[in-house]
Amino acid sequence: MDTQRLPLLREYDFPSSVPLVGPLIRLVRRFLYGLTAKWAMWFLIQQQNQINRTIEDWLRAQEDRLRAQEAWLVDLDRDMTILARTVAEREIRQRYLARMPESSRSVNQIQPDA
Amino acid sequence: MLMTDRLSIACISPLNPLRSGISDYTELLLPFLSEFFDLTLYSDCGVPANPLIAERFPVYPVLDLYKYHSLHDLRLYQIGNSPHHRNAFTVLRTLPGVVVLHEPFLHHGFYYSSPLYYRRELFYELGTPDWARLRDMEQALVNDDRQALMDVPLIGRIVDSSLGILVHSQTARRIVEVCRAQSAFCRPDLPKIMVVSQPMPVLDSGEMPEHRARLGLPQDALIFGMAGFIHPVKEPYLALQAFARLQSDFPQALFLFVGEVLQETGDLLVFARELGLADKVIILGRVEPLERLHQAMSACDVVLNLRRTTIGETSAIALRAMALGKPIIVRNIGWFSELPDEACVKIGPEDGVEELAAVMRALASSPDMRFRLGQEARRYIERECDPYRVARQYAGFLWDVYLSIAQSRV
Repeated sequence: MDTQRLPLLREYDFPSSVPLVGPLIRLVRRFLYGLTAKWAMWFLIQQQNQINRTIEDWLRAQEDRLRAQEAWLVDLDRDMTILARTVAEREIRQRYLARMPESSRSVNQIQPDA
Repeated sequence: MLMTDRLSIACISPLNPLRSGISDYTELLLPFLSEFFDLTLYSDCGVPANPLIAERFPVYPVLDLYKYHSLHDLRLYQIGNSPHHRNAFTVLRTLPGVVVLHEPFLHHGFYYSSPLYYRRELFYELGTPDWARLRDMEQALVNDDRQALMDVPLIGRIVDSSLGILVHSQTARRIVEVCRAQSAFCRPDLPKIMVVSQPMPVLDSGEMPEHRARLGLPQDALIFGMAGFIHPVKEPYLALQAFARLQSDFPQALFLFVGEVLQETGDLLVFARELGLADKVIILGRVEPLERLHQAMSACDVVLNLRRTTIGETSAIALRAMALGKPIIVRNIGWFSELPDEACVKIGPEDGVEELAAVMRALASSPDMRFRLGQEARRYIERECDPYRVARQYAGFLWDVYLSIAQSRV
């Protein structure tokens, strides 16, 4: 199972590749962002991270449950195999008894276990 | 109930036109087996290509066994490592019977039937859903790394569920017994396991000059052959390298490939050209029917049947060559090591070009040795592989399984 947690949401960094005035542009953008959207965005990021974490935990729990069920299916498959063999043996014995004369059939059926 | 009563047996097997060695095997055995049992065939072959089989036996699709299973006393499955057995694998899960395990290794059979089946069988055998192991196994399958797959042969369910298991070699028996010892459901009395020879009649090799003339081969050539599916495990490249060493002493020698060269084998003619053997190597491709295959093999002086690695299988082609009285060269591994030393030439499991060239040279230079080996090979086939004898062994085993279950205390 992958044990690494999903990454958290982060704020946008406002990069600028313009030469010389690039850092100034970046500064202005960050300032405007801080003035208009930062607090609302921060609140949304926290909420979304919480939701993501909840979904992630739920999916991981489902994964654990699926693995347990897979192991259970393997066990059931093995049980079914042995059951199929037992049924096949019974089927042979039933046909065998059906082919025998009735007198010897009843004797054969009531013999105790050896 | 007397042994003279006839059991009704459901025989589940591929048949021609499904191209499989097991189809030929079953068709050879059925007429002899029908002397002991009432047989009903279950095969996905459609109408059997062999008219004798089609006329003589009722044939139903494999999945019809779900409807008719209660009409039979026992089920006899012919199982090998091929997707031709896809429906047999399915039916076997719920309707077990006696299984003739042609190879105690079923990776390719399951995987190419359905990756889902494969996963189920692997997890069954491992006892746990191990996904990392599944990925490793699938990778080994794609790379055809048989050695990596051998420790999980994928026969666990068959060993657990079968009422009896027939194999064709002591090697296969050992693999099955190891698997049985690991089984969670091991019962000392079941399943019974028996080694039975592969049936092969002694074949009339006819006149070699006639066969050579028909194939346009020179009468005076010394011909080494490799027959059947030409797969890398049969080491065709090693054989050509060894053959190249003989050229100075035996310039009249030829190498004949009688069979389909599989895609994974690559281009043998390119390799032959690199070795300077362009005009010495002949590839006939797939040869049908069996009579023509026998004629082409009869045109050879020596037949090579190498393996690296073996999965416990027997080789019908090796037995055909022996039945034709041809000397064969094999590796001393698996079933091949069980062949009598006087009936074939064996090289060591790890031997390379030099050792193979040495035995090829010895055989090339001694017609007496070739004749003697061929005679011994034919005697071995007469003694061990007579189809009637094999059918009798089958009959004894099936009755033994049947009675031990039918008369057991409930």
